[in-house]
Amino acid sequence: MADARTEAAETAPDPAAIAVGVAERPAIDAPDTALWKTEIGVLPHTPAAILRWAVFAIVLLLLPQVLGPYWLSQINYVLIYTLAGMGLQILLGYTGQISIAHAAFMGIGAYACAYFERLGMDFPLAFLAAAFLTGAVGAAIAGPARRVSGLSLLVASMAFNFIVQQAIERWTPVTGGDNGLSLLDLDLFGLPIKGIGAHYYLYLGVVAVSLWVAFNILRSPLGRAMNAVRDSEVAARSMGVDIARIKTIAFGLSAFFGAFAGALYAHQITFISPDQFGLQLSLDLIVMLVVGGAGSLAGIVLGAIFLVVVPELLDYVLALFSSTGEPPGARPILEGGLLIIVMLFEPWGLYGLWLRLKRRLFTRRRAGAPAAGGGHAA
Amino acid sequence: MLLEVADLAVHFGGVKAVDGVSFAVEAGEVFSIIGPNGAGKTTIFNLISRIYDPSAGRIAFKGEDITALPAHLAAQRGIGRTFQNVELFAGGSVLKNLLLGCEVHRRTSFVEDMLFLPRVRRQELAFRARVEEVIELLDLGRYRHAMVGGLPYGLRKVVELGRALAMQPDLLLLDEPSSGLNSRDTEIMADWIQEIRRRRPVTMIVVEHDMNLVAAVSDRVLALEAGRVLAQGTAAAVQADPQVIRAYLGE
Repeated sequence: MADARTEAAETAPDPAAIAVGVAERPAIDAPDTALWKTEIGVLPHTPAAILRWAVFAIVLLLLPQVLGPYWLSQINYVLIYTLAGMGLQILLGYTGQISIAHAAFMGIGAYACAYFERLGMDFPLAFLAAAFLTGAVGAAIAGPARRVSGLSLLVASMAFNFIVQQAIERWTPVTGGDNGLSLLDLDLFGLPIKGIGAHYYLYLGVVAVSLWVAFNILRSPLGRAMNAVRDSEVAARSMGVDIARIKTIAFGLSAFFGAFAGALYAHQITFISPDQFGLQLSLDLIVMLVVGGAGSLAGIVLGAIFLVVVPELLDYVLALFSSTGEPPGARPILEGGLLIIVMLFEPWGLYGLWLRLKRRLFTRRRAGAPAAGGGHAA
Repeated sequence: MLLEVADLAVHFGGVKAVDGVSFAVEAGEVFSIIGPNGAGKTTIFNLISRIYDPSAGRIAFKGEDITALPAHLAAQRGIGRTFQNVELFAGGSVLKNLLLGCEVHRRTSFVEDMLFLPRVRRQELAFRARVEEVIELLDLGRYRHAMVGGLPYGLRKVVELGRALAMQPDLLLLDEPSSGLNSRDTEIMADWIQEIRRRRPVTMIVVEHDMNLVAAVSDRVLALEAGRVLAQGTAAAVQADPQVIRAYLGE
């Protein structure tokens, strides 16, 4: 129903109407709709930024030509974790709901996609169907999840993760139970996606679109309402935010993108079993968000890199120190130690570190330039 | 009458926080509620803005019974408010906080938001224009992109007032606009309230301790003690009421 208020909200602002009463101090407050458009835009608008992004895009597109299959497959895992982390970020970072059930959503998505493909669906269709199904599950559990918060939500979500894992294990006709399920070969509308490089391009595309959506959420009323729920529910309600609606959307979207990650993960390792979607993965994803930089999209990517690279690094280091095999317990101690060090020195995570680094370089080159801040605004 | 409150009561356990309060506020009026700590002033706000459910009584807004309406719908009907202890969204800029005030005017669905369709873009620009008016009115231009968490307390109170104004409410509930402010900032706050009144067709209910501010801005005053109405009338009449004097100064 298009009422008068809709009309008012949608017609472009009349600069003259805004300027009424501004005459005394026009220099500060003259409306600048061009600037507003730039500020809500997503594309880079300075030549330097456009150049940076173009170089970045070319590097990403050339990676399969440069990297060997091993490192490229590691990059694929970075992309998958980025996707998973983004889904979790919508719930945890944007909306402030501490849930450790994200592995369950990934599991539902992975199994649903595999199952749908076995039924004869094309991959794109199975992929989307799995995501919508998982999203519906997420939205449905928002009902009970809305009744609890904080630690109770944490425990309840943990229980949900256990239940899903058990269900996958017991529902043998669909999931293969403990024997697991192997994935069919990927093809995109008849075009076979064979080899790590082809997988990489597919994942990159999904991640790019998903990050764009995550960014859109942040700059739209939806993201503001989510942040409002996170920061003060009572104020959010008084501003007209329907808390139940926002939490349902947050759980649903989080599960939706979790399913994306799960389905791609399944295709990356080509074999799935219930133990892959346990609490360990849920916890890893939370660690990833915190280490990467709570609240920022760039931090998720950094966190995903951390999650993939650190075990590699430890392999390398431990091999240097011991010729007779790994000393027992060395790996968890080193991993834990590294985490503690990152958190101690940079509570804003790797993204915070990057911002600080950039600021230092930036101010050295241009003395007196304003400090680049606000990177954590989520 | 814009707002009619009849025999409103709320009990927390055995405590009668609000006990049979009735009053009515006319459109365009500035109506103040005064009283000692614990008299039930903020509780009345929480009842009107539908954060609390009353145990008894009735609240009507623009002729509609809103006694059982959810809080977010009360906001959408045109009731805006501020909080005694400032409930801003600390992680966001001033601009973002003010834009949240436009939530009640949102016409886009979450799917449109996620895809940032042209309709969302147009709506964002219209919201921005609305918010810029508030920024101009409250002289917040310098702080537009500042993080709210880093602003001094007095300024945060002004931002919160701005966020409520961005809702373009028909009824604005101001919960102790002067609390935590020094006398100079309190005077500034009184000026803002007068200015808003001159520029916008908004009705206000103000809960306040500072009698100078009350006298400066109010058309009518309601004095409360222990959840009950002591006196109602013009600021001067209420201040002169023997019962009010006794409640404020003791026997």
